[in-house]
Amino acid sequence: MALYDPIREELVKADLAQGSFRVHRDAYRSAEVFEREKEQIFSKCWLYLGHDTELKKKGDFHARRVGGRDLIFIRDKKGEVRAHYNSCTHRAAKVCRERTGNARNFTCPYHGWVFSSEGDLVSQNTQTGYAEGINADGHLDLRSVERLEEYRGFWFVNYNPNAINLYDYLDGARDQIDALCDQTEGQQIILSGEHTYSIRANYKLLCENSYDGYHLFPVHASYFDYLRDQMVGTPGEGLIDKTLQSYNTAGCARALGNGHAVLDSYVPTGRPIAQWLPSMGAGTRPEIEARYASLVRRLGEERAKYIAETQKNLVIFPNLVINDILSVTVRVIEPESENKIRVTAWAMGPDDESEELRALRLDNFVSFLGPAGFGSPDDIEMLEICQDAADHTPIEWSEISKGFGKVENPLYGAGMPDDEIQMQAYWTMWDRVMRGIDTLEKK
Amino acid sequence: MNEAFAPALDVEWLRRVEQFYYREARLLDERRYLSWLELLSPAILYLMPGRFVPLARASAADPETIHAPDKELSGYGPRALPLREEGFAHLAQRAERALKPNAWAENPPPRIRRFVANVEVEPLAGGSVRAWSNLLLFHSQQGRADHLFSAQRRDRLETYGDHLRIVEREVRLDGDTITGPSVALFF
Repeated sequence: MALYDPIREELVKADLAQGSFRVHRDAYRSAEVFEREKEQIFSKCWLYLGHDTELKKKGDFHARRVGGRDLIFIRDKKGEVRAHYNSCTHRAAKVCRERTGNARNFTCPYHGWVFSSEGDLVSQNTQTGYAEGINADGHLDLRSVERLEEYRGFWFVNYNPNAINLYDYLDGARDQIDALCDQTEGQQIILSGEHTYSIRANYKLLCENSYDGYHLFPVHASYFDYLRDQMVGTPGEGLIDKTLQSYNTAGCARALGNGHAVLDSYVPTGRPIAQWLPSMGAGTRPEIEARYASLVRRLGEERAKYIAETQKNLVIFPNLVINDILSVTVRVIEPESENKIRVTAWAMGPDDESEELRALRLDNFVSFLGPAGFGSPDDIEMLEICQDAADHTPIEWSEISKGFGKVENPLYGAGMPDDEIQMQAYWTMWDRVMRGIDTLEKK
Repeated sequence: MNEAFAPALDVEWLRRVEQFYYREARLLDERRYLSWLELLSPAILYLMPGRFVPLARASAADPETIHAPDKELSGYGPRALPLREEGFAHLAQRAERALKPNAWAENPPPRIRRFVANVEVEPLAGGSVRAWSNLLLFHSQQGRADHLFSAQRRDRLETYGDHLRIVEREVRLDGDTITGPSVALFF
């Protein structure tokens, strides 16, 4: 519910001279703003659909809601990846009622129209009543999404036929995807299963939280206690406190263009990709060291070190999070309303890692990142009290100024890991797209 | 084998297991998490699968398997992504965490009431039993809507001295999306 209607002219205010960057709380709480986001943000930006490795075999599909639209993400029987709208061209029924599976055809349960995996209408389940050639122009085939493109296995859709290419849209985020994909000589794959959960908060609150270095100590102190306990009696004892002391000077937050940004930091959780810690058990050490050696050989010492040791929290505007930390999660935030989201999270890992390392990766995922983890419930609590308080107090502005004012263009700023320059980049882009200053269209 | 009928009832076992569950529920409802740990075997496996909706495939040989709940589970181990797969150390850390003031999701603490029903017991060799039960967990916490979790628990309990303790527990939540406040609770 909005406390200040109608929509304000200005929801993001940046005052360079004052060093002040503010976001009006209607951006989190107003149904009217959310309606406009559906038209501007979710109809013009590239939205994550799924990963290539989720469609292993021909006919594999996933039915997903992306930016409020129901899609079928499928590898058709010729091997081509497609995205169809999940609605019968006859009278609207969903043609695919499963979340996932393998199919050569989709048969609409209502009147029996049959569509091929390529989307072609192959039967109307009747001999009579239709003019011959009624589908000569293909208008009764399953509707394809306006745009579907991929970068290194990450498939995105865009509902604007004139949108710029995904490649250009990703801008500096491409380098981050490269850093992720180059972790292995093999392939990064989505590991089996997904976590789906809902949170009573605006989607942008979770984006902000996902690469917020500032919240780490206040919110996750109990998690650091857990890490400390794991290291008691190992050579890693004391490492937690030592590393955390240098947390806000060792890494950085970097904006990557088009509202994307990454937080590079150093938190001693251990990383199944090439950073071994005693808490991970001696058995995994040789493999991790071999992985590191392979990184150096392929990419050089500097890049290898970056890939192996830096914790990377990436947000691709507007609602995709890739956290490459103690485990890798690809997490998409689907807004259901201005104050409710549905989160789907997948674990990602290299296809050539040992069973032991894979088990460790998934254990890290479940025990910290998952909805039952040691991290997520506390984050969720924070998001929900932010939303609740924004909804039920008249305070106009949120102050997102930490580190602001160092660069002319916030879309390419950089700062300390506990700065808020990543959010300043996000909101700058959000404001530009919302106001039509940046249409994200081909010139 | 006809599984529709229960074997002859071993009333004594049933009473023991029921009483064990009621006591366990009361300990947890009263937030005596450290005491609850005493009810666990050090070798406990505490499992919560993710659930999904599989493609229905009919089997001519056994038509009842078309919608078998077993097919909806994520599985466990290095190739699967369950919601939880925990041992004693993990549960002990949860218990300690739940009693910390800076575990924000737990403070202020939720009021939780656990209702255990539909208990079935199948004695196994060596003094252990397999037990099925349904759990309804009412969750109320300041500042949020009340929530009900519904789950099936599939346990293995063993005799330890004069008592029972839990060796294995699988909690199968019935919710499709996780809409509740947290699945990091003790079910």
